[in-house]
Amino acid sequence: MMNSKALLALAMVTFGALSAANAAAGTFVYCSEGSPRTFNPQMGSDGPTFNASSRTIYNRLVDFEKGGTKVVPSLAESWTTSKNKLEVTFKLRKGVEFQSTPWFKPTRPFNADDVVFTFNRMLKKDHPFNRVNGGVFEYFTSMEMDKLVTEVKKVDDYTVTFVLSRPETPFLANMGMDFASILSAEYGAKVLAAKTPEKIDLEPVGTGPFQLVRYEKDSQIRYEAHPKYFQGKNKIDKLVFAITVDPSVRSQKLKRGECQLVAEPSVMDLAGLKKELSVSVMEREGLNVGYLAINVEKKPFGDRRVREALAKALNRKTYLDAIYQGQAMLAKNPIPPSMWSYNKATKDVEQDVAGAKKLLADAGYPNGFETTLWYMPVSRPYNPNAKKMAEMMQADLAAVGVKVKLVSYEWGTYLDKARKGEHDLLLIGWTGDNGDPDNFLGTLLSCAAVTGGSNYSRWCNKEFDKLVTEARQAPDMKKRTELYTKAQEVFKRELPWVTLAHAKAFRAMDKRVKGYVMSPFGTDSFYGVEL
Amino acid sequence: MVQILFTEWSCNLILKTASRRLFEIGLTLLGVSLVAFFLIRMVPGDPVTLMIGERGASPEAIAELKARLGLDRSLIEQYGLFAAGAVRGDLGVSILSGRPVLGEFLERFAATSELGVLALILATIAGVGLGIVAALTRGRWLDRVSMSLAVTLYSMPIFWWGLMAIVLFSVKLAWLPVSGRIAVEYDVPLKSGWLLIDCWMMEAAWGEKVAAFWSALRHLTLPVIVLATVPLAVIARMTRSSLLEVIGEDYVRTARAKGLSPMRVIGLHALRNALIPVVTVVGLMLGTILTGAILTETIFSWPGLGRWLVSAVQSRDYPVIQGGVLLVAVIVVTTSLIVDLLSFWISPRLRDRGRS
Amino acid sequence: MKRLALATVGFFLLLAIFGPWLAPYSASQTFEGAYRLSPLGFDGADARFILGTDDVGRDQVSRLIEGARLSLFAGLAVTLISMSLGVLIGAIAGWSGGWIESVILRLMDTLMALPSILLAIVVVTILGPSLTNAVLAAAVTSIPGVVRVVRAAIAIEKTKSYALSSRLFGASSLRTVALDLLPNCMAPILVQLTLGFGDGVLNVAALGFLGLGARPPAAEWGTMLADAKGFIESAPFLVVLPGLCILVVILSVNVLGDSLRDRLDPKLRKL
Repeated sequence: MMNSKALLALAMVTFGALSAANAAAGTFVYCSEGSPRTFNPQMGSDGPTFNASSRTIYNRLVDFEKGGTKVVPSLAESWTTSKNKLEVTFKLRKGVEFQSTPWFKPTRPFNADDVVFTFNRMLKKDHPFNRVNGGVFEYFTSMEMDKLVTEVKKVDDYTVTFVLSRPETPFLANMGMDFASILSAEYGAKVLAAKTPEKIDLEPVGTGPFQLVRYEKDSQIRYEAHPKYFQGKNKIDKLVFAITVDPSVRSQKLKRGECQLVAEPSVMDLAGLKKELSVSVMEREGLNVGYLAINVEKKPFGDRRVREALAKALNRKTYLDAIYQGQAMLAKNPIPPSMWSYNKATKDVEQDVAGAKKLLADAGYPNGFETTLWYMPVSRPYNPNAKKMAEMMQADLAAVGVKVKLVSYEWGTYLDKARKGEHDLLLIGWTGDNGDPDNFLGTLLSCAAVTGGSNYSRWCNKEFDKLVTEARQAPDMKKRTELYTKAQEVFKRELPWVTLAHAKAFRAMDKRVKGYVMSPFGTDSFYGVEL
Repeated sequence: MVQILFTEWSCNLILKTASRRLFEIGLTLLGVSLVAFFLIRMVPGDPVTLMIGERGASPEAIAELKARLGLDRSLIEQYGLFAAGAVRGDLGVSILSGRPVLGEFLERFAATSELGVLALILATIAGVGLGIVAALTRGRWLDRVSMSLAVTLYSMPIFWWGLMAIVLFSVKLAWLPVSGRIAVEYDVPLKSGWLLIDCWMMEAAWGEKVAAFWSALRHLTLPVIVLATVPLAVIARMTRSSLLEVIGEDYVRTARAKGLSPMRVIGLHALRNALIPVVTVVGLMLGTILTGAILTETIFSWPGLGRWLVSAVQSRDYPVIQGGVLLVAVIVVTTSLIVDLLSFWISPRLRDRGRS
Repeated sequence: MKRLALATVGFFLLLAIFGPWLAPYSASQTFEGAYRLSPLGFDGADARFILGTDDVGRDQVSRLIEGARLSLFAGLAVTLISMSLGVLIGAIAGWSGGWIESVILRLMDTLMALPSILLAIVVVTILGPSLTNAVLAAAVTSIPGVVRVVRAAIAIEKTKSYALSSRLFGASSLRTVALDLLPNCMAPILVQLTLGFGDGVLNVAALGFLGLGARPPAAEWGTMLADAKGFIESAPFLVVLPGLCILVVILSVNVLGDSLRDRLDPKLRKL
């Protein structure tokens, strides 16, 4: 009896040593926050899906520079826009190899057929892969790319032309977004011939730095380095995503050396993590904005003075500590400061209770008025606790005589009603997709976005709209910067929102990790990372 | 032997009972499919709205997405399609992942069943043991201690108990891993879905296989103990009272009078009959285990059915919920049918009663 | 054991009823700077707060007392709702027999074939997370158990001679069931009531733990647990105390339920 116990103890010690040795041998473990929905980034919209597919397995025609939002060449070496701005032609890189996996051995390198195949799958309803695996191209459809792109033409093996229905410069940045990841046409033909088209998204093949080995849902994803990756083989041989939903468990695993990088550590754990000698905590401002949308279609918010009074009534600085635990910066413009064309010159609205009261009196509301304030039922990165914020706002607004009733709905209902403009004041926010200012100013504040539903202020200003539309079509970066800078001035003058905060994003990692850079988009890439 | 047990008569009776039960099961499953289908559609917020989030989309784009998911059809039509598919064994594809519901279910079921079966085995062995100890020492302090223990375990809020176990054994003492099914360094391909079995089938040196098995076992320890808590208590109490009832009966008294030792009496005569209600209870515990699994899986990040269904409710993944719930119900009713047949077969008395 | 249990339940009931007068502070009052203090007797304690404070500086004693109020009343509400509906449906099924009984039984089978917590989760998602809705959800999931017990008891009683004679003398069905049969089925119903109370507290707490019950800052015990989960390493007592309260209350109620059963069920008493 004693003997077997001793044996067991011995075994424990031996295996403990064994596992420690294994961890050191070129395996990188990433504690990710959730399961990917699919391995086809065309059909996803969330961070875990993009991290597991587009950021590892695939490449796009263009990419964003590491850690930034500038568009740089990737599978396309260069591109030109036609005179009428309706045709964008990409010159493709030669000699890019697809991954060779147990389920597919490529016979040819990447070429124009793959690009045409990829986009036609989403664009053409009669494409053999259009309906495969549900066929819901959520990002592509909701960004109305199907309306923007009319045709994808193969000019020769290494030249592709996109025909657009209207001039649109941010199109280029869109091509760097995750949903524009390039699939293999040859692999598509193979699985179609084998009558198993669904495999195209389950057993993915791409050109990216890592190839999939195995996936166990809600448990782990295993990758190995793509040996023929066109930018050179990765330094890490094996990459494992340990899917760990609970943020405090992720931190515990990092502390115990069970993983080397942690996605979105909980703000509450940051202090503890910073104390650990073997752990370093990184932070950067996120590409996001939390704001209070003022529905200008509702009385009395059509009056600019009332909107300014609201902005002056709120003591926004106190929200930063209480809601974001100090891990955010005060927002004055609708776009975050890390984005190009951010207007440093605009003046922020300071709290001024007397001024707010005077503005309300001028507008004909000396005794204030009653209205409703909607707060989100969920925690989002740009506003982790909307309810608490709403309560603080309620108190601030009461001080200038505005009596606010707090309202909330279940998240789906909330979005639905807000899209239809049923609210008065609405707490909401936005996380950027592609680093282009149009993705904030156009998506959230243009007249077209009123019908689309994402302009929650339902604010349609001719001057602003003209500037943004012009900037969207201008190919020249300098010109665009100028237009967007001006648009922010108009925004600041008209105040359709009370801008609240840009929240920071965090990563915690093992100190031995080198070469990891946080992306402004909140996704994680592992190319170039080493231990 | 079998021929003697199942005379033509009792065979007939079993057939008749079984066919009535099958009919009832069919009705129950029909009810479950209706409840699951309509209940989840009563939840506010449709999957498309949740998918596009803050971005919003034009009404046409939303209509297009809905049409692709088949959500533009009438509810009756949608239910008809679901029911017709279910009868053929096709439960549709998940809205979120685009993968067949049945395949996803089987993957998850493997993880949950590894946890659940081990927990049930632990609960049965420990519970029956505790029950026997208590029954043999009836009224004495060991009985009281055992039964106090049982009622404490029965009252345990397992979500709290799980957290406490993690803090103590994983964080403070660092004896056991925090969460997950196996340490990431072991690359075990899933075949049966049970890691304790699959680790012997991977291509690796023996040392590594043993190490992987050990790692899987260590990851299982805490969740299995936590999940077994409540069933263990129920089984212990049932064993005790059922054993005490049997001991009081004539044939046991006779056996005792014949001078057989108490151990033999318990072992040979009493236990067999006492175990009939225990078998029933073990079968009924399946529901408790499934409910417990939802909480246990949440706490231990276990990739099983519970978390799969809960996240499907949150994202309004209709096919996953209606299909997943139906499959869970199939398991529950099948098990209770098997338990019924089993107790019918174990107990000679029940068979006799059926005949007369 | 029994007396101790009775005393504990009484103690918590007192806390629940007279909580606002007994608690040192309001459950929602925050003390600036007094964050995550330990209970007396540990490092970093403050004499003002016997059981310490939580992450935003609220007094734990006051919150646990408020929690007793919320959790016990929630348990009570679950029991009352599920018992009244369950007894009604069970009595109808047991008395009428025939197809009505079959329909009701199949319906209950259906509800029982769904994992109860999942059913509760769906119900709460439909109604929106709040304490009231968590109570409703927990009640819905415990109805089938009550129905089965009551139906079985009524079905046995109704064949007994007194029930038959009551009918013979021309009493209406309602009268017979309500006045003659139900009182005779009181034993199993009472036992079910006690055990149901414990289950009610537990299920509401479980929903709170999953973030589907009372909304923070409400001091329901399960919600407090869920809130404090993140501090399990830095301030473990925030997790220990609410859970311990749940355990102690349910344990005491179950001990009482057991002794009630032993007393009411003569066959078991003999043992």
